[in-house]
Amino acid sequence: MSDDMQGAAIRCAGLVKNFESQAETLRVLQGIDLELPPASSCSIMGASGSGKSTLLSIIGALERFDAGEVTVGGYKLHELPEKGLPAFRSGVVGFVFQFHYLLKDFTALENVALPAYMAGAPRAEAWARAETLLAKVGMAGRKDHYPSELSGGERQRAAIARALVNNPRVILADEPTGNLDAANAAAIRELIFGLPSLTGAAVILATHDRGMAESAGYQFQLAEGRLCPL
Amino acid sequence: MSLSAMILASAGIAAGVTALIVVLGVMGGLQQGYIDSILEISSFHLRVTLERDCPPETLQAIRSLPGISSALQFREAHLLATGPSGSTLTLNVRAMPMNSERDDPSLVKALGLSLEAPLPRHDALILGKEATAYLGVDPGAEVELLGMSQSAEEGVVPIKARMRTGASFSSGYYEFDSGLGFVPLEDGSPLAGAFSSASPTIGIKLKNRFDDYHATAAIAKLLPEGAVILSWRDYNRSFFGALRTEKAMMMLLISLIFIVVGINIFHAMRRVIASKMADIAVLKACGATDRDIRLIFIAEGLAVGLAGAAAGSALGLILCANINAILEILAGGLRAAAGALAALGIGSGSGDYRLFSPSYFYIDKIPVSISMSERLFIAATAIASTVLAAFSAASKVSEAKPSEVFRNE
Repeated sequence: MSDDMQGAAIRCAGLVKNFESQAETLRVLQGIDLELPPASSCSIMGASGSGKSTLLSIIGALERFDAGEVTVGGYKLHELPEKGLPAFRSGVVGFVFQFHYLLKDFTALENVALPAYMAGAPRAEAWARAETLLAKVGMAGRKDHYPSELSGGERQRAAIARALVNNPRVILADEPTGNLDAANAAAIRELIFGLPSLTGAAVILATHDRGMAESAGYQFQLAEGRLCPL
Repeated sequence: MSLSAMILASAGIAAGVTALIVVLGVMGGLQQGYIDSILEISSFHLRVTLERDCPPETLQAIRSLPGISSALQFREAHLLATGPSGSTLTLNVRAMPMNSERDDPSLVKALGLSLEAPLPRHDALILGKEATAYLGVDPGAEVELLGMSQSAEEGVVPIKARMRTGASFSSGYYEFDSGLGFVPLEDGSPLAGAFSSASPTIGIKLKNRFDDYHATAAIAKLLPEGAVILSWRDYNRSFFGALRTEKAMMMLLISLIFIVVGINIFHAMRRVIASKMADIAVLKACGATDRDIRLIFIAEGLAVGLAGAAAGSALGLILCANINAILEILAGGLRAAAGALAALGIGSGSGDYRLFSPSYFYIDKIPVSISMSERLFIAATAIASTVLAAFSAASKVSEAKPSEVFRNE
């Protein structure tokens, strides 16, 4: 852990990411500089294919990058070996995707408790944390339901609770309202932008929705591989 | 894997385990029968060949050694027997002292003779039931025996004698029932000359036949120079080796079931893993390692293997324990079907419908013998095949790259 713990939750400097194919080299991110303090929120807008999801994947250590430095929650991802990535993903970041990706054979409670259990928490503690979080996202009465028995908004709430169960320092939300109707989208927006004050985590949100983007404390546009303030 | 796929895979494993246990059990039972007959009647556990007769005190000293069950001195010669109808048969005739039944009661038991009756019988030739049937003699009838005597002075001299036959024996082993005979080893017997040139042999049985190395060393100290001791392992090396090879080959062939089931499990799991790439990606995004996720699938394979091995072992052992009753029921069913067909004017309805009729297979009932180590080996092989299949299939987990999966979704 470095001194960054005391400073920025996320710091990217000169981040470059290219995708190589036989025909060409796609330069997706061309020197991204970003610094985000803890308990803050940031939105990234951009056209489809502009690299928003790639940037979030890199910050969440789901994707490696070609150049630059990325420090998240004190972990220097440019120095972190492959075998250290699972522990980083488990303890430092939480993901919310456009699709909920809840496991269909598990109840909402089990889905939320699973990352805590995998991180080594005792079963009782993992389940207790999951129950508390489901209550916080307004799902206390639906905890024993399977994903197929939940509405789209409820599934996304459960997915948010799952992202929070290991007390991450950074929440990465990729189009979290993309599949929801206006009412549910508004509820999820309120929930996500309440997270910094609720948990102290920094939130990065990739979205097409200008209204949602404007709710964030910091707003950026990603275009031609570069990040510009909105 | 879905529950139905897991049940199907377990059923495949169970079928393989059941087949292996029953086949190897029956095979083991038949082989054990042969081995017991050979060791009790023919080869003994140790066979000592001497240059001259063993003094009674040496024989007694051998019997007194720890671990020795019995010791019997005899001579063997090949004789040509001719029955009243003129049919002839070559016999391996063993000349033994009177009252040998007291010195080696297990030999009498293996021959299916009464322990009360003397073996051999004074002035009588005891033959197996197949030999008496071939020669066409009943107990008390006479057969003509022709042998050879060899000496330096007279050279090879034919010996001819007539002997009445005693009660026949039935060992359950055709070779003995058709080619072995017992006569008394008596001075003045008309056949004595036929055995005079044969080397005296001591047949020794041990309380534990696997203790032959120690027993050989102890007995060798008591014997005169020139005595040759042959263990049952060496005496029957080629036959027992063939039995072992036969069993190993059968095991290998039936084990192919496990390979087929294993390949099915492998492909089923690969399909499951391919269809669950999004779930695997989520688990990885939540911090699961490749190893954690692989363990889920390996545990599934282990569960399939354990369930199949347990069910197959139970079914196999039940079948083994009741195999004769089951075959009897099958024979009864065949008899009833033949009777029904006969009532319709098809066939006579008569005949032997037993699947292993003694008239063809020379056995009264199917013997079963399967050791605990064989059962454990079969179960372990079954479980190993499913775990190996799951382990191989689970390598696909590493192919799930969360960022690519989410991008494609």
